[in-house]
Amino acid sequence: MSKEFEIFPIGDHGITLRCGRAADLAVNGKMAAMADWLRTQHIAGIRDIIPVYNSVTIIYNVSEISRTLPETPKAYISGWLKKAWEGVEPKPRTDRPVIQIPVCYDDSYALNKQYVVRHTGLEWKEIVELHTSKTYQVCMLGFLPGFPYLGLLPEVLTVPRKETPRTPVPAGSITICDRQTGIFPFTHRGGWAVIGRTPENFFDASADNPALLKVGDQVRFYSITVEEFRERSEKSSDL
Amino acid sequence: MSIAIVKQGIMDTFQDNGRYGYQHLGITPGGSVDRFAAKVVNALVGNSPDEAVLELHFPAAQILFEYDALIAIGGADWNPMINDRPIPLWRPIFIRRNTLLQFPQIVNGMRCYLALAGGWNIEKWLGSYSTQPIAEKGGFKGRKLLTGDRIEFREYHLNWISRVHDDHIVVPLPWSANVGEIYANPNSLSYIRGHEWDLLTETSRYAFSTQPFIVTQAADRMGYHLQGPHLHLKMPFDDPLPSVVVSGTIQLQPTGQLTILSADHQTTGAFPKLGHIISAQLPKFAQLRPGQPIRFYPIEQEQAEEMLIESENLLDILTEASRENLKPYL
Repeated sequence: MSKEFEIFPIGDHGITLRCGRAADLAVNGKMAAMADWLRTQHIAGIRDIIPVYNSVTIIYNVSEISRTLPETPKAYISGWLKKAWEGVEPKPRTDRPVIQIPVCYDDSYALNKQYVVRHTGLEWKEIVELHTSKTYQVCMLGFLPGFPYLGLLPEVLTVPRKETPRTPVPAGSITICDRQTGIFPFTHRGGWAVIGRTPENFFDASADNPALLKVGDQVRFYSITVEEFRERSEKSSDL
Repeated sequence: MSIAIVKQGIMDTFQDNGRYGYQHLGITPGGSVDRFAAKVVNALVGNSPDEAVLELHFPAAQILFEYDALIAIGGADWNPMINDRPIPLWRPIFIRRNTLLQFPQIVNGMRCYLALAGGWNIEKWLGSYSTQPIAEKGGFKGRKLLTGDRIEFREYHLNWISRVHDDHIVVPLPWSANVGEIYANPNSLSYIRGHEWDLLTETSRYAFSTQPFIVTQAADRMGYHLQGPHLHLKMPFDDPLPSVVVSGTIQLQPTGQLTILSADHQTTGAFPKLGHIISAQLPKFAQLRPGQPIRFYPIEQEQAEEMLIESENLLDILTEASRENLKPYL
């Protein structure tokens, strides 16, 4: 893992620490651990701590810091990011339990099957096998509330972003794009290719912490039949 | 005690100062696009600056007040009227029950804010009243207001009947907020350079700094698309991983055109970040309409911080003064 990092402002109330330019699961694990650690510290004026692929950003309240502390808000927040970089060692990813996610890859849910087959040149069976063969890391949440960017997808499954379609992608859809795979927590338009659907919910708006996956989590997909999908959908809608 | 939406507007939602602390879950802060206007109208009716306000876009809803109320309106000027009577902006106003508030025509501005003394009885989600349209949470049923909606006031007692003659349906109080300075030079926006500024070609940097960029029709709570000179990078952008963006972030699209993100922006973006509009001028940016030009001026971070603190001090003074002025009426 690279020992190099850079710190730069995002306007007048955000600062990012970034390491490298490529998607790297070890770097991402460190970003997740840094964010967790920063949350346990008593940092003045913090509004958000956001780990993504290869960076952590702190969004802060300028006047709260400048009214209470002698240093500039920029110096104060940069100092915390540096401290996190130097002090935090991520736990090995093998320490975390792997979250198992059922997916039905049947034609009725794999809305962009032909697109993926065409771009990868693989048979559908191989595509499903490859997609379920890896343990993925939640590299960030973004795009929609609770939408996980899971990496890294096997290189042979790489497909480009589609023209954003007019018809929305249904909630629960499992999608792929570049080296990422993701789960739509809501029905919404989006340009990732849809290869299946999970009957499980990954966003619970009534919970204090509504996103059920967090950055650094390990997940794995397994294939279920249409019957199993329907059975489980009924169960989860009963909750 | 409530208002009724007689005729819905195009996009009227409840907002506050944003839902912070959840961006790592992909939940955008949202909130009033023009935070300054929202805080001023709250201050004018004696509310806390964090109280929810109704954010209106043009054409705005027609709103029937079913109960007496103390309100203030600010931000965009669309000639607001109570029944047939024009009412002033940036001023506390007593209005009598069974009156209709309307916004007949655009004078200027993109967003208008309505504050109600005591606040609204609406839903808080994850610590904020702001409407989250994707999760359909917060505000009024997590959505924009529709014809037939009725929104309850929070319990609140006005002791003003003795001061106002029965015939008067609208009584503006004798003071108003002076906000001129915040919205001066509406088309000039100061920015702090973004991390990818240096990737622009010299010609493009010059164009960015000297040419006007026009706000297009594609301008909503998520962001504004601009039309201007085509900007180019020195080499293809090889940094495609998403990183965090904020309200005011100026991104270069693959088309060579710019977008500026607004309150409902996605939490991250993967386009080059050329700059960030400074917080103190986001209210000005919030009020720009399609067709209006923008010119960008660079500024140092320290100065941006000072300007932000100054505008917050101004709000503190206004809040304090309003509270004093309102005392004899409440």
